[in-house]
Amino acid sequence: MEDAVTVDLMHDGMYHDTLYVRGITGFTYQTPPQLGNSTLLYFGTDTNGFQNPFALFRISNTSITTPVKTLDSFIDTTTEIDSAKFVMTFNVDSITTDMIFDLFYFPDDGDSIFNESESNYLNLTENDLYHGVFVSSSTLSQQEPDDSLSTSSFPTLSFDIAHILSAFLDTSNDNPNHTVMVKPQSNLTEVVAFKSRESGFTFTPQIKVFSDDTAFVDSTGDSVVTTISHTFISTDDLSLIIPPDIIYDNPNNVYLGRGMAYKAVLKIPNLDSILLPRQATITQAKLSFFYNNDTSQSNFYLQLEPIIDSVSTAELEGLLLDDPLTTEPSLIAVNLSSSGKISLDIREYIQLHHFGYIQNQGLKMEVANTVSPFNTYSFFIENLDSLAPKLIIHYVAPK
Amino acid sequence: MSLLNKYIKIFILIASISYGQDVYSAYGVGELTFAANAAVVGIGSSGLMPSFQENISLSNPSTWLGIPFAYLSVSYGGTQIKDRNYDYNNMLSGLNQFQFILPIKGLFAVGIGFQPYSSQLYSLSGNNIYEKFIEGDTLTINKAINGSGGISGLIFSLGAKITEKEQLGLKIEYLFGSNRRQTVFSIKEDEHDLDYIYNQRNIYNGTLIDGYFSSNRFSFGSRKLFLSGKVKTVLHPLRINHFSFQPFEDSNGNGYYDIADYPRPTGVDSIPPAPIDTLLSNQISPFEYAFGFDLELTEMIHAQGEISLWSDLNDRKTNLTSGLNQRILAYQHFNIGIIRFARALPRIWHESLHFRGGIIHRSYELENQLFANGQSENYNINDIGLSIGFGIKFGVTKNQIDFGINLINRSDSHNSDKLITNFNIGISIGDLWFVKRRVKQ
Repeated sequence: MEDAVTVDLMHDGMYHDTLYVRGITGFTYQTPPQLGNSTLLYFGTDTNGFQNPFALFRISNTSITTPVKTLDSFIDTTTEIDSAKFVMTFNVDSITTDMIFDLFYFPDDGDSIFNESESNYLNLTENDLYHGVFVSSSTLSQQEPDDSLSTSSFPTLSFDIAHILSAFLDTSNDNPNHTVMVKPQSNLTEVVAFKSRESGFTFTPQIKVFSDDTAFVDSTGDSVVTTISHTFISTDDLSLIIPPDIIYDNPNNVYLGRGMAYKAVLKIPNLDSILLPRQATITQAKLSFFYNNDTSQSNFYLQLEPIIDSVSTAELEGLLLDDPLTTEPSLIAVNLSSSGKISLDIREYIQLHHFGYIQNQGLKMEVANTVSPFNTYSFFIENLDSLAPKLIIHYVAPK
Repeated sequence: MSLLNKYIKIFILIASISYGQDVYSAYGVGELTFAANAAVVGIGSSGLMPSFQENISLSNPSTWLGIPFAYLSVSYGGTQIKDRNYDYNNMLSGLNQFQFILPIKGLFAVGIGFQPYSSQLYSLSGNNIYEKFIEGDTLTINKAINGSGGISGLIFSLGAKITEKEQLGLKIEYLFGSNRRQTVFSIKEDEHDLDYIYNQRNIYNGTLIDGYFSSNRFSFGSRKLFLSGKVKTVLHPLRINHFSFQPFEDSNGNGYYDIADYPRPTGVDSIPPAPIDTLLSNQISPFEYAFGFDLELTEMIHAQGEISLWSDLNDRKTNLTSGLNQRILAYQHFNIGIIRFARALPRIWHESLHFRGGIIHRSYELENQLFANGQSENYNINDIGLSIGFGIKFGVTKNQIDFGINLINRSDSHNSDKLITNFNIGISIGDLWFVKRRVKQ
């Protein structure tokens, strides 16, 4: 192995350089909010006017407990069903007011009442659910700890469904219905949240079926009967959200929010004209934004995805029924906000654009994983230079 | 103006047989191999004058008419470069020459051989770590450049007698080969330290032609004087297929481009794009002429001297991309020495030995193109050295084992404490070819 020779290589081989890209523009567009993948289910009306009238659940036909059973297997008359409950878990560990909720089911409507990723307040209203049959009510309640050292469990809603379980067990129906709806018995003046299936198996909305089983029989005929719990979790759940009729229209800003379903299209017109060396490798492409730092709002994740197809501004005006933008999810860039400024590294997008593998159709911009879906965030776009978005590209290239 | 244009073309000729690891090895096509066999190393010449045996040089086909036997010659050599100022010590060795020479009735001689034309092996690290401050971030940047490879020559030679005292020689050198070069660009930001690697590859081909002339028509008093000259030029310009690969971020730090790196390589829709293939034609136009003498002092002792001048006639701003930021403009070589040849019919053991010794001086004129305004600064490198060697002749067919060594001190404007040691050992087997042999009854 030879020793390395130390020489002046300042001007040889490769170099590093930086490009500043300005003139970035953007505009907001709006679609119906879809919170199907949220970890929480909401009920009630927010102070900003967001309404959350009901939630829908589709229950799995197969249990997650051992022994694994299917709902229709309970039709076997040798198994005696003790009780059956539909259980939801509150998101906070204490109750401040009494709340009563009603449970409905849909014995005549098949199993395609809602779609977790597509249903919204425009294509699914309470009028569409008038076939819902009342099952039972439940008051939000909390079990007291066994002793002072134990912690309280989360409050739950527990609906009795034993009397309608046979509808779920019907094997003669080719399109069995395993959907239920929960809504507050009276209007809630504040928003309350329950854990959704995305929060994990333990707290996911679920049906619990308790059945008796003979666990032991001896030669004299004496027997021991035990009660077994079978859990069938929710596979789809959705709380519908109806946004208020507020219009954010400052042209110097773009607005993002999950509840309002505000998204934005970001344009970097100068990207096609920047002169990167042919074999430049992007080491960093930091796209920075400034936003109104409302301290009452929690931090949020900002997400950018390259838009694949060309869409005109006119096509994105008004409240859209569906999001018309198709994006490249493999090039998603996400980062957490911090005190009025957020920066995202979009170097893969810039690199592929430089290689000619992706066109500069803009970037779809939205917030994700906010603590509350009811916050709306305002980003500066057409502002003073110091607050305008800017893109700084670092690259290395051969000399 | 592209900085590529500041890089060299070049043939850098540093030590007559040295091609070891040094910064000079990174210039252009690397260090040229001038003297590929041990006899030439022993006298310190470039191979023009006869040093293998009396009136015979393995490198000069115009001296082959006097060879009594066909020769198959193989030599092995090495170079050590020790720099006390910068505290490095490198060594490289390898096969230097394979050659077959066939004399035909004393009127002609043909030869075919294979030898390295130039070699590169270098590992350079930057002496200037620098910092950049961008938007509140501090980037610490350093570089390293590694390379290896070289050009080989397939050589066809012809010698012919034109008068009783004059001979001509011709060499056609078909050059082929490749080299690879890797630049490692390190960027450190906070605790993150990443290397960006840029690979290049050159594939060479071209043809050179050498013309030789030798005469023993003259004398110096009663002493025989042998004179020889050489002209080398380009027959088919050296073409370079240069492949420039997309630089990549060595994310997993293994030094290779793989799926964990960036831009992430994918299958059919190749990311990154294919390397840029550039055909660089007529990049190097070496022209060299040399002259030498051999004066017979006694029956066995000869004094020899050579002088040669080399220059690159292609003085345009070429963009040979494998070089550093220097190019060689010209060099001059001079050596003088004494050889005691073995006696044709030795009577005692030491009369079977050749002894060679001499002094070498070479100077190189380099252009250092460091300045962005296009201004360049020339500087010189000087080599002064001693050479010594011996050969052992044995067998009826004048087989021979040779050994030679050079000790060279190299100095330039930056460094004067560099010691280069070249050694070479060779064996040449003689035989009679194409002779009718009667089968014993």
